[in-house]
Amino acid sequence: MHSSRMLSAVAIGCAMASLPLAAAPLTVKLATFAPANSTWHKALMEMGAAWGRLTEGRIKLTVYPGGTQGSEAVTVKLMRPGVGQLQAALLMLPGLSEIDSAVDVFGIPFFFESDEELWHVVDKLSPVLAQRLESKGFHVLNWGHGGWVQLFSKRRIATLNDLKQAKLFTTEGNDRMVQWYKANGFQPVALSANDIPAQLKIRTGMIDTAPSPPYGALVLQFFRDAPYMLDIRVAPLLGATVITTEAWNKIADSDRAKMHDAARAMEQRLRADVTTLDASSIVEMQKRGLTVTKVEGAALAEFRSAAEKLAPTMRGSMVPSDIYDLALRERNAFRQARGASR
Amino acid sequence: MRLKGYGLLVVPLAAVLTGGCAIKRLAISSVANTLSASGDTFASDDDPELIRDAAPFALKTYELLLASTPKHPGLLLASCSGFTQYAYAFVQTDVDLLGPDDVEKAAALRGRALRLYLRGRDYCMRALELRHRGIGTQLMVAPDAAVASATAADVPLLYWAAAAWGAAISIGLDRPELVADFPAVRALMGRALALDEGYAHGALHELMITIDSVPEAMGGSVERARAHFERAVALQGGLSAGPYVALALGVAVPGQDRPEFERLLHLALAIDPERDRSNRLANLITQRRARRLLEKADELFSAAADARLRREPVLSFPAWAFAASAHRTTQFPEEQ
Repeated sequence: MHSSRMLSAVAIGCAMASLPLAAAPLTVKLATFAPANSTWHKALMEMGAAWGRLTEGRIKLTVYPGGTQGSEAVTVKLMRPGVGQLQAALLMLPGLSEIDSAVDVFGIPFFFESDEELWHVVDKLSPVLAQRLESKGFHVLNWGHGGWVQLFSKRRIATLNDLKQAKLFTTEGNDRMVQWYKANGFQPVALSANDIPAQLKIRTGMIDTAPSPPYGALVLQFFRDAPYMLDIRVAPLLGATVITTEAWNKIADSDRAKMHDAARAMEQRLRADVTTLDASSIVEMQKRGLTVTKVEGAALAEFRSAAEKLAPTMRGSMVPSDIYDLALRERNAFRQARGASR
Repeated sequence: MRLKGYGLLVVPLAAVLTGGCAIKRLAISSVANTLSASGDTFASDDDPELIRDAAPFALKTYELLLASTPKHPGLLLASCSGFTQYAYAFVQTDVDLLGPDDVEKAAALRGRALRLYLRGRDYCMRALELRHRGIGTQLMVAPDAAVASATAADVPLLYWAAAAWGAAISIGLDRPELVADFPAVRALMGRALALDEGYAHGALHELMITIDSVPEAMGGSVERARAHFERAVALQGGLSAGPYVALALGVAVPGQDRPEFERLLHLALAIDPERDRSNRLANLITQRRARRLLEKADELFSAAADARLRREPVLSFPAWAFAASAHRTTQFPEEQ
């Protein structure tokens, strides 16, 4: 080769070597228990498509629906630094509280009464909760919602006393919750969630009442054996889409902003869709035999009074005190403002 | 799902539809009988694209005739099975052929497939109502009692109603009005199996692989799904790719067993479609789907799964919805 051409080749080679290489697309593997083709799965798929489009293909989302990656506790472990087999997940409270128990504030029975109240508190607590999760290695992309847990029973429940007589399902493996129920006069029975439909089917089953969002009761069909629904919202089934900070830190700032935009759009969509899903699930179950028991007047006042007494018993023991106090303050401020505007 | 014939197609309809009233009715009935008669003109074809283009015309012809003879049992069954097969073979299967970035197109195709399935189901339900008044309402509230009066003559309607309804539910899990009636699908299939277990060369068992692949809490069972697989393969003499793909998607994916998934799909691809010409079209379409599923296995299996499975058994369940209140659970799952 002629020397000048050789020099040119070397120069070009050096120049190329000094250019930043185009970054390979980052694949984010996300696990969720939401079944394929469900409301939540479709929302995740749309968010993933938006990530690809907005980042011009630099971020690719692969969703593993239906809980195929294991329990939420296992999913969290698989996201931990050093394991890193999954980078993201749509987690519900059980998984989120594996990371930080502060989120349990959203699981306090009868603490919230409406979507508006819930989302007001979520919005107010979001910065501090996100910071706590960030310090544990998880970045919050959005908050999700699995519906409002309500009570389905074999016998009609209309009063607090009726509820205290019920053999109430609670998730096995959480002795603190069992003790909390017992200490407050309830009759909890700890079982695997898998056993709910079969136990309700048996006339003398271990449980006669199970908490579930309406959609869950519909999918698992246990409204056919527990055909009464108490029309009081026990608690929202809150969740969040999280990504490991390890993966998040590999993404350019400009792309992160675009991902956040798409994640927020998903959150807004779910806030509306899940509310509709709850309502239409109840309507469909009513067409097939479900009786909805409205609680009004003195009975409602009794539930509300009990809720006010029960909630503080979780402060410090099940929910960090500062988070509980913040949530209570914001919830009461919302109620006060709403009351003043009426 | 086995694709059966749409029957003979288009006839000089104009002549039929322009005559006097009685003659017209007789002629329509005659054409309807001919069209709805079973045959393998479509099912034995070796050109899926030809059938993709031809089938809509056949289906609209059925509907045209049904407008004049709305209670014709043969036409109702042919319309039910025809719309269901078309939706499965040429709309829903196309979703699998798309790349992972075609989310909007996939959603549109699923929406179209859902509408076609429901159209098919409604033709079967119309036919069943004619034979068992009130069965539609009964299926909602007391599914097992609703099908108790069905006889062996009803098995094709039971099967196709269940196939269309079940397929609609599987892609419409965000629609409570559909999800609520999954027990109706089970009841239809349970009755059909009791009446004629060997119907259509194992078609009932093939469909039951998918139905029994649902989570245990919804009445599913991996063991039963595998037993139906074995029986379907036996009844079909191993000449149909359908059971292999059904088990791969129904059991191997939820269990995150990639070696089994690949083994089953390779077995599906090894079947020679020429050995059973009556089922040639279905095999060709199913094999195209199997090839695509192998290509996109990374979207169905994460590297995480194998490691996890060694530590903890998978408990199928979509009941993350149960994670009520402030407690932790350690189980769940479902399928793609």
